[in-house]
Amino acid sequence: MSAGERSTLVERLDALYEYDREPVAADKLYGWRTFIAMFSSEHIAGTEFVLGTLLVLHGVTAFDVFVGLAVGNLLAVLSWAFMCAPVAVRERLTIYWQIRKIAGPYLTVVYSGLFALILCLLAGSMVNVSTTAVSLTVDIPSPNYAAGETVPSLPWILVAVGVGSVIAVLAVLGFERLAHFAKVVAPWMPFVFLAGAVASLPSLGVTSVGNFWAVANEKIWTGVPQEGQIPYGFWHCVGLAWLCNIAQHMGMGDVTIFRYARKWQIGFASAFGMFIGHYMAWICSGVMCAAFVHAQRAAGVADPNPTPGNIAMLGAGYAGIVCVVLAGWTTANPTLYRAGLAFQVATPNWRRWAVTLMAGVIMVVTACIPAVLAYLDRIVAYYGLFFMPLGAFIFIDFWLFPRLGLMRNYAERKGLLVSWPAAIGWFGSFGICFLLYAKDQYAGFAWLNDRLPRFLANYRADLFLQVLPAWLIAVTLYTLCCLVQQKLSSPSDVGGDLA
Amino acid sequence: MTQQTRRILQTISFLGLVVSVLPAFLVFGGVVSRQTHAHLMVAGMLMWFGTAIFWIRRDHLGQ
Repeated sequence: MSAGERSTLVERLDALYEYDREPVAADKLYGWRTFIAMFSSEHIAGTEFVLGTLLVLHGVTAFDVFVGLAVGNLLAVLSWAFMCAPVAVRERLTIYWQIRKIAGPYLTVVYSGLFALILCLLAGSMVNVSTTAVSLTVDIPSPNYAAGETVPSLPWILVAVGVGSVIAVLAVLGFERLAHFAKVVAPWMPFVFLAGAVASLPSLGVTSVGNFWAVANEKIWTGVPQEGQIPYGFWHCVGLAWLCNIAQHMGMGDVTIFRYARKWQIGFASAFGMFIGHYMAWICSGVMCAAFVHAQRAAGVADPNPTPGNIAMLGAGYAGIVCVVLAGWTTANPTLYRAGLAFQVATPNWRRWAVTLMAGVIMVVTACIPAVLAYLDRIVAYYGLFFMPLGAFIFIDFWLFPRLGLMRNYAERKGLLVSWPAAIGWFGSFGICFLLYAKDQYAGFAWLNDRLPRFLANYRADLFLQVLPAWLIAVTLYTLCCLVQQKLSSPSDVGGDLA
Repeated sequence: MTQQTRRILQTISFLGLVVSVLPAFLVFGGVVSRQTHAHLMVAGMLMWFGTAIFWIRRDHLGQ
């Protein structure tokens, strides 16, 4: 690639985000109410039907769910309030421009491209969720991954293609009107989760509030994983709740949103999203899952298939089906739209509709892979761990660098195309955390245990428990490399202009 | 839209939410059947969507 082409790529990306290059003006700021409404509506999606179900299938206990999710969600709220929002209201810039200042334009392009890919994957999982509901209404069984059905039937694929095509076409047409519809759907969805769970309790044997806890431990969160599932415990619940939005809070993705906040304390508004969407909804979908499995086993079904469509139908009837379809649809659409936006950078001569359709094709293909839903918790964890380091750099660059006598936004001030400390910190942190996890999970990496120091070989890292290690490794690598980078440059380059 | 129309629409919307969730507690208390609960949830859904679309506005937070 020539220098001219490279600069064009960067210029295109800059042009795409040009409209939000300037910090938000004081008269465009919003208060608590707006952010409470936004978080309450944005963090309840079709995937909540999946994640609550996965916790049941992985055999957590009732204590793990109620206390572990509370702790994890609290950590997420604190991360938003003390890490993301304070930087956002001081800088009032989008994540794109913040990354560009510290990591340079090339790494920002890499970030955008990879982020687009993961957005397609997530949109695919949402289409998958919607398809389980649509297929149920036309009597087409969804693939049961746990029972070994790794490829869906042709009719199911056709339904998924239909659902995905509608979403892709709507994303191509623009998502303003759909975004409004999503906002209308959002307040209703938590009530469907709650109603579905409460109405399912009697079928599990809960006859009063007094015997709920006993039944919850015996029949819902039993502490015994389903066959073929890895056992999860308290810390998995903490980790999943903390990790699943880590790209937004510790990864600083939501500085783009919080730059509109009047004050940093508004970061606590995230509690409404977490405790409605990732606490109440996960618990409710767990109850509905257990009720479905219980009913199916009682009917003599050996391998029940608790898809979002199946559990919602049992808990809330056709309103539940509509909820699953809309929950998947309304969240897949903006996700796909944003993926198209990010992909557009890498496809210079393509029209916008063509890029969005390409993202739509990836989304539909993903939707037809049952393993995506079966491993959604792991996918979310990988996604969080991979994108979190860049947010950690923004945090450290803002708070720590002036105290260390280091220059902030070094890449921007020096006109660097790539910040090598950011590259080492980003890929190094993820690589180390992945290898520490992979050495005990994948046979191909088991040899690492023979070469690592004993304390690391004995360290049993789970993906969900990597938040703190990943953050610490990322900021340590980044800070050390920045020290080297800035000390190697001439003193006149660094001193005198640190803030 | 007048203030009065808006209030009427909002009232129907919130009643829709109540109709969506209350029957579940009645099922729990053994007062109504699951079939009735499912029907009422559809009714609540129609009440919500039929009215909320007219009074919920969209905010722009740079998304």
